[in-house]
Formats: sequence, structure tokens, C-alpha cells
Amino acid sequence: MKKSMIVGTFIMDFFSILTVIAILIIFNLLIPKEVAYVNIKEIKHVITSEKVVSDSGITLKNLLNTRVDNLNLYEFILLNKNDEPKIKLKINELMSFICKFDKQLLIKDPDNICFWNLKIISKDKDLSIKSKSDQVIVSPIIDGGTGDIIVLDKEGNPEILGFTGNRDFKTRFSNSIILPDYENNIITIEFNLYKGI
Amino acid sequence: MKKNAQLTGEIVSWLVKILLTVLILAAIYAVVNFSITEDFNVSSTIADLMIRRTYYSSSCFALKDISVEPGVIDLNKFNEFRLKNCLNTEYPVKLSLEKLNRTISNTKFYDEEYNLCQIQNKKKRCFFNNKQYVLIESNGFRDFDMLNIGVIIR
Repeated sequence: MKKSMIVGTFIMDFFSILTVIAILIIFNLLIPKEVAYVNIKEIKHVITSEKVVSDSGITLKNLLNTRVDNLNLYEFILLNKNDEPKIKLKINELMSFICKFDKQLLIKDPDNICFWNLKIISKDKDLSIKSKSDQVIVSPIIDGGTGDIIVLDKEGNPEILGFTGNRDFKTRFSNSIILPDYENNIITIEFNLYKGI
Repeated sequence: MKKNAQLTGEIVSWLVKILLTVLILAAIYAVVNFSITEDFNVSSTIADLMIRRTYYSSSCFALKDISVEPGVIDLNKFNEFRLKNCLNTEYPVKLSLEKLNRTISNTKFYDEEYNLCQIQNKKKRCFFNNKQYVLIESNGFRDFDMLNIGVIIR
């Protein structure tokens, strides 16, 4: 009788410890951790999230206002709408200054890895321009990298196939702007920027 | 003899009970204390506000023509005196224009602060930086550049 009482008490104490562990886990889940800007969905995340990010709205506005051959880029696009390679070349030239990527950056400074794609949608046709690195990129662990693989799809949207599972970029922005052309037709410019892993 | 063994058994059982009770109380105290005294780290928010202010506000470096043009830097404004006045902060801040190769800071000791920050505990992040594509206006001439902004919050 006495033994069974002791065993009973031990079982009760054991369950008490389990309850405390459960409470700890629940608290741990409830308290918001630092989340990437792109994953902010709730107000509690806003308080603890990582906020220092590039401003893609300003980047797109400035890109279209950049002086190119004594015009701004948007006018350059309109005047050369039938010469796609010329537009692609000029945008690639400018974007290579804004958004850089190479294997060394992936290893030494993964925060500044950057991919982009831009779409110009008009009444007659769509023009899609993307980061020059359109092949699968591997970061070798032996070089001190993270072992992440970044794959670009046909649209130029990158995906990180992480060593410990798929991950998202620290900053992922999507901006679009609607502007008229010389004949008052609507032109939509979509700009996507992916930065930092 | 039997009574002695019974007494020892009871003492052991009570000791275990007391130990478990103390453990449980300590765990509850830790949970409550942790949830009450949780600090929100707003360093990144402070840094972000300062960084954006530099190219959004005409009190800092944003061009003001008829209206303010966020993201367009008035090169005539780009100096240390203006940086100190517009941000009015003790946190070290450094701005540099990549293409023009011009750097300004609100303190002479920025590099020392940066080095100190780098050796600090990585969990307590204190260095925040951002690169922003900006347009530069100087005497009616416009060009593009990359504005690098670094803020140290310790």
C-alpha cells in the first residue's frame, strides 16, 4: 500500500514536470521571434522584425528616371519599343550596378546577394528582362559557403534550395507602376527584387 | 528494524518531493519572469527610420525643387554639418556615394565604433546598413549612384 502510494506520487510529480514543460513550449511559441520583413503578417511581428531593407519603390522610380542618352529610361523604352535587345542591354547595364551577384558574394557577403526581374507589359506585347545569372548556382560548403543552391525559373524568380530545407530571401519586393505611352495606351512595369540570404 | 527502514524510505520520498516542488516552482518563476520582462529590440526600427530619413527628407539630403523628391540627393546638401543637424543623433552614422566616392559621417570615431560593434555578441546586432539606388542632382545635372548607409546602435 505504502509502495503504491509512493509510485502514485512519483507519477503525479512526473506529470507535473510534463505540464511545466508544456507551458514552457507554449510560451516559447507565443512569444514572437525575429522574422524576415517579407514574412510579416501580424502586428506582433512588426515589433520584433528585421526592418532595414532596400526601398524597391524608390529604386523603380529612380531607375525609370535615370538619364540614358539624354532621355530618362522610360522615354528610352518608349522610343525603342521595337528594339528589344537595345532595351534589354540598357536595363541590364543599369541593373548590374544596382543588383549584383557572383559566387564570391554568396560565400563572403550573402546579405548583399541580389536578383531581379522586370516586365514591361504593353497592349501589343510583353517584354521580360531578368538577372544575367540564369543558371543553377551552387555554393560549395568547402569554400566556407552555406551549401545553398539558388535556382532561377524561366521568369527569373530565384528560389533558394537550402542545405537544411528551402528558405526565403531576407528581402523580396514586388513593385509595379502604370504609365501612359505617347498614344495614351497603358504600359505596366513590374519590378521584382530579391536580396540577401 | 522495520520501523527504521520505513522512516528512511519516507525521508527519501519527502526529499524527492521537496526537490521536485522546488524545480517546478523555479520553472514557473522562470516562465512568468521571462514573459513579464521580455524586451522588444527596436534597434532595427531606429536604424531603418534614420536610414530612410537621409534620402526621404529635404532636411537631410533629398532634393527640394517645387516639391520634395525622395530618393534624389541634392549634392550641394551632402555634407557632415547637414548630416549632424538633420538626424540629430548620437548614434554613429556613415554615408557614402559609391560612384562619386564621397563619404560623410557624423562622428570622427565611426570606424572605432564599427570595430567594437563587430566583436560584440552576434545576437545583440548593432550594425545596420542599407544600399539604396539614388539619383544625384548637382547644378541641374542628374546622374545615378548607390548610397551606402551604415548605422551603429549600441
